[in-house]
Amino acid sequence: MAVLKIQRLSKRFGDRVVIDALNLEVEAGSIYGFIGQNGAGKTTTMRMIVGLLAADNGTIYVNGEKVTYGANQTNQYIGYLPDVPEFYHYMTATEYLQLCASITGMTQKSATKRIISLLTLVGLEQNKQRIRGYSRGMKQRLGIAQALLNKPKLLICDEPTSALDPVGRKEILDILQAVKKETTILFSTHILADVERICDKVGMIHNGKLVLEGTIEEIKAQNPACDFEIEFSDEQTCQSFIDLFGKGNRIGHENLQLRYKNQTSESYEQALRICVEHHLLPQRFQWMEPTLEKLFIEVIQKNETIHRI
Amino acid sequence: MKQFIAFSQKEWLGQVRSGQLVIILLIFLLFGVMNPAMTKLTPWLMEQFSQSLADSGIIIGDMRVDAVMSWQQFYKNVPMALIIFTLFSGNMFSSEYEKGTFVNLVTKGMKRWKIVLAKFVHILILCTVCYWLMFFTTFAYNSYFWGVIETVNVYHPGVLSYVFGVFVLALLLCFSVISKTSTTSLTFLGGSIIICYVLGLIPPVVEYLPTQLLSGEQIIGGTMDISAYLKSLCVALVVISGSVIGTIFIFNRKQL
Repeated sequence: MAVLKIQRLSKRFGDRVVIDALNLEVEAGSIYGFIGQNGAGKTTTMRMIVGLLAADNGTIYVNGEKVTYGANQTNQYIGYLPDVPEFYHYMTATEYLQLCASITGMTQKSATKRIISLLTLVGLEQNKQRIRGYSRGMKQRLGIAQALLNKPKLLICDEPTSALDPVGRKEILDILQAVKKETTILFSTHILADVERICDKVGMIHNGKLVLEGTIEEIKAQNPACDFEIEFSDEQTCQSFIDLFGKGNRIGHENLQLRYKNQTSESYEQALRICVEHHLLPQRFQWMEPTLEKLFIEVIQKNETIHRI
Repeated sequence: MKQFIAFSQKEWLGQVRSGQLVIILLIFLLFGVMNPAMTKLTPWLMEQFSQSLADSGIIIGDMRVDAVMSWQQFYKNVPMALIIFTLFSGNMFSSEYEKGTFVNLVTKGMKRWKIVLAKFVHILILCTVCYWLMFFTTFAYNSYFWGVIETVNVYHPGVLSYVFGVFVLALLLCFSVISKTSTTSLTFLGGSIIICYVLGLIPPVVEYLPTQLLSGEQIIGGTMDISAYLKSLCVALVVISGSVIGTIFIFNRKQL
C-alpha cells in the first residue's frame, strides 16, 4: 500500500515551473531516496506534502487522505524534519518535545515515556542544556525526535545530512535506519552515498519531473555499461595489452594502469581472455560497478540535452 | 484547548527566561511611581529655579499641587508607556517567521488560529497587568500624598486609555502577521495612529476616532464628560474585533 501518492502535481513561482506534473508513490515500510540537484524541486514537493505550500495543480494523498493547503488534518500521519530545523532556544530538548506532545494531543503519561525513549534513540537523553547551546548535529537529532514523536506513518526528512560532518551524517543515517521498522521514510538529499547506503528505492527529480525511479539495483541494471581498470608491472606488458585490446586511459603514478570506460560484460571477458592467452599477467584487474553518482550525472546531462533540443 | 495552553505557556516561558517580563514590569512600575513623584517634586523644583526665573522676569507664586495634577501627569505618560510596550511586542510574529519556528508546530497539527489567539491573549494579559500596575501605583501614591479624590471618577478615563492600548495591540497583531520584520509592523502601526490624528482635523469625524480615548487628562480636569467618548469607544471595540478576526484570516493563508 502506498503511504504517499502524488498525482500530476505542479507548482510554479512566477514564470518558473518548479514542479511539472509530478507523479510519485512511496510504499509503506520503505526508505525512499528523493534525489536531485539544488533547486530541482525536492523541498517544494515536501512542503506541499505537509501543507505548507499550496499546489497549483494535482493531488497529494497521505495514508489515503487528500492533503489540503492551510488545513493540517493529514499531518497527524506525518513527521517532518525541515532542512534546517529551528527550535525555541530558551527551552531544553525535553521541554520542546513536551510542547510538541501537547500540540499532537498526547497524554502526559504517554508523552513522558515516548520523550525518554526518543531522546535515548537520538542520543540526547543525558543532555540538560538549553537548545541555544546545541551544535548543528544535535539540532538535527532533536529534529528527528520531534518528527517521530507522534509515531508517524510517514517521516519526511529534507536533506537531513547536507550540512553535517561525516560523524554527524553517520549518526543521522544510523537513526533513520533504526526507525525504518516503525515508519516509512521519504528522504531527500544530493549526497548520493547516503542514498546508496540506506534507501530501498530512489526517485530522481530534475526540472520538476521524475526522470529516474526504481531500486538501486534496477537503476544500475538499466545502465549496464561499466568501467574496468587493469594494472601491469612493466611498460612492455602494458603496451602488449593495449596492442591487443585497444587504447585505454593511462592513469596512476607510473602510467601502468589503464582505465576502460563504458564497457560491457563481453568486453570485460575479452580482456581477461587476452591476458590468459598471451600470458600478460596483470597486477590488478578491477570491474567497477556504475555508481549512483555517475548515473545521476549521466541522466542530468541527457535531460539537459533533450531540454535544449 | 490543550494546544492553546501549551503555546501560551511557551510564550510566557520565553518572556520569563529572556528577562523581558521583569524589565517591562519594572518600567511600568517606574512610570507609576514617577507620576506622583514628579508632581510632588514640582514645587521644590520651582523653588530651586525661582531665583534664576525671577532674574528672567518670571515670578513664581505659591504653588500648590494635588492628586488631579498627578493624574494629569499619568495620562501624559500613557502614550510613552504604550510606545515602549509596542517596541517590546513588535517582533511577536516576525522573529518566528525569520527563524522558521512555526514550521515544526504547524506540521505537528497546531491550528493556526490558536497561534494568533494565544499570541493576542498573551500580549493582552501582559498589557493589562502592566497598565493597571502603573495605574494602581499612581493611585496608591496619590492616596498616600493627597487622599482619595471625591469629585472625579479616576477609573473612567483609566478604562478609556486601557481600551486605546488594546486597540493599538490589536492593530500591532494584524501588522505583525503581515510584515516580515518588526520595523515594518511598527511603521504600519505608527502610520495608522498618524492617520487617526490627521482625521482628527475633520470636525465631524473627531468623535469617532479611537485616539480620542487618550483624553483622560480632560476628564480628570473636568472639561469633558465620559459620555462624550462613547462613539470612539464603540469604534475602538469594532476595530479590535475586526483586527483579531482579520489576523486569523491572513495567518491561515500565510506561507510559513
